[in-house]
Amino acid sequence: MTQAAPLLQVFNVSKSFDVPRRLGAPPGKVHALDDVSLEIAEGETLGLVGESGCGKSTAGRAFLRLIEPDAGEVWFDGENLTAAIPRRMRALRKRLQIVFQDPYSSLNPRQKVADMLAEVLTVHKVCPRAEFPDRIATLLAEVGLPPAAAGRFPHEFSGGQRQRLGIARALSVGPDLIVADEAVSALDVSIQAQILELLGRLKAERSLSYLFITHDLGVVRYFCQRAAVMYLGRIVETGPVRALLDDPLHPYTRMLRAASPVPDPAAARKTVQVTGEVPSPLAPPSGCHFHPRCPLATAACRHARPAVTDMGDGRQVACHLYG
Amino acid sequence: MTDAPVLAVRGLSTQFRIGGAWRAATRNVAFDLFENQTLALVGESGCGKSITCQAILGLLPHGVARVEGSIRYRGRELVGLAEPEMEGIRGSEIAMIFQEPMTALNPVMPVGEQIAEAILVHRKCARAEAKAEAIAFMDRVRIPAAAQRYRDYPHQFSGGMRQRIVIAMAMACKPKVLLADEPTTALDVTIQAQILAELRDLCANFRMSMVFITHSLGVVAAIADAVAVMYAGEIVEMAPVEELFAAPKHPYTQALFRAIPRVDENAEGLQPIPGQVPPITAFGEGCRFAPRCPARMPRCTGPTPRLAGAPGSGHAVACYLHHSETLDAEAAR
Repeated sequence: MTQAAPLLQVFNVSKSFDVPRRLGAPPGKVHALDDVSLEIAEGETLGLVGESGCGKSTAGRAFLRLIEPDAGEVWFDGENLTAAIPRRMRALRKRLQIVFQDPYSSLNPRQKVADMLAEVLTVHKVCPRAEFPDRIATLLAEVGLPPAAAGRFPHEFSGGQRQRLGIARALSVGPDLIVADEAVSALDVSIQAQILELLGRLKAERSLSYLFITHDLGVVRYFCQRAAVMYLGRIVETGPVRALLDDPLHPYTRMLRAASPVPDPAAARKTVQVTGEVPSPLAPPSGCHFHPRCPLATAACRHARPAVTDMGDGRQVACHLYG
Repeated sequence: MTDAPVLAVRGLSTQFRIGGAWRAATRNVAFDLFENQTLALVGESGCGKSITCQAILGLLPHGVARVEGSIRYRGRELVGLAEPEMEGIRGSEIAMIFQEPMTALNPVMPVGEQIAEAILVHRKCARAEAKAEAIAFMDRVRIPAAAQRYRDYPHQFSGGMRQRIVIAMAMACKPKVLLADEPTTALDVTIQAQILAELRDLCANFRMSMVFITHSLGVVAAIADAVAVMYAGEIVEMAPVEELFAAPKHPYTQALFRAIPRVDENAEGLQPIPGQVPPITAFGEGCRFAPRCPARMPRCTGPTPRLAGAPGSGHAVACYLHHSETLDAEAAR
């Protein structure tokens, strides 16, 4: 860790959504983010992992204020994002970009690639219009697409190429931090490796930082330096990736790690101790949300939310076992 | 394992009419599935693994698709079988489950009744008996409080529970063969681990055979006895699971292993496979992996290498790098 202040600092961010009354079910509230804090250093890749519905995508969007957090603060490069006025926020968006899982749904199907990129360059006043063709050609080359791609429509590209377009669009404004929300999850492994390699190269060349949201612990191990594990809106464990995966502290991290498929028949057939399912976020369990599935739960786990314990070596865990 | 395979596929080619021309989606697919065996078909999107399973069940639409070759189920030829006879096989002898359980479930019918209906369609028995059996199967796939949930609708279940219901429905007719098309791909890893354990159990207890389609080598390792690796419509390598993972031979299989970020080992660097799978309209002669292959030789673009291996090894590969073994095998015949 460097002494400099982290690029992104998130303090106690919470976000809940109202769920309207549905057939046979009363209205409710989903606490998608419940007192989430984390930080990302300059040039660092932080993996945010968890199962569907744990709030990881909401986290990525809330940190960029694509959805407004209910409480808490997000600081970016020494500036309080959550207090920034719209005009300032717009300027900051050049430095904060996001890449989505399904690039096709985030690309306008009737817009040629060159027009799509030109629009971003115009909106953010990146460079004079005369420089657009050069800038676009450079961007396409940077993400490994041929120059001819500029004249094509999104449907003319394969899934991997579309993800390259999504990345090119994020890069066009020269960001410092990119939130990659399951950016490689929908891709076949051979293509996934190509995109990971591209993201890694861009990180080195442009000294980018990433918040890398994924459910795949293998990708986390390969691509991230640190990781935070989420369960039902809360971060349960944070630490350097290798330590976190080789010696997980939180019982949920252990379960997730044990359930992750390994390409090794001997290891893959060991009986995995996985019990239960993620409960409904509408009615999360009391105390530690994980206690109904936890093999080590005690009375305290049912009643009190565990505080975050600093375990040294950059590791933090929110579990009564360590409190 | 008995001597005769439950399912024997030979020279299976499926063609689709695309833009007025017939294009081969799969070419010369052949494998044996034995009793109580799980064969994994593994490959990337568009490699023909789902189409192969749909061809087995006669699910490909007539007119736009045609199937050539032979599919023998316990000695009986399924290719060209009349629809009424095929219906006698579908479900009761060979069942199929899919990636998205919601598409296989009727959203406006209680799940228990759907399972009971499956039992009644295939077997003559009283409704009460079918209900009892449906509950027994829901219990068997570990749906908590099965009897109480008999009348619940699909939307009241989680994704993992829905997949269990679909599995219960498939199992209700006690099929000999289960075709499972990416049944855990849409599920979270902890749920995936549970469903895989469930399927392993069911196969062992009912002496059922399974063709398991997946794109994940991690899942293959957890479920399969034997593996067939597919690329662009062809099986390029086939082997018992331990052997394939210990010593993959085809350059594509090897490349796949090098492209997976593993959760259990620190990788120095992934090696992406350059290029991409050719579209069906561009499938050529010769080895279809050749344009992306690091070990490409001039002959690879000539006649298509056949899937062959040393006799008795059960390990076969379609690659000229292993041609000496291929020749040995042919000499032995």
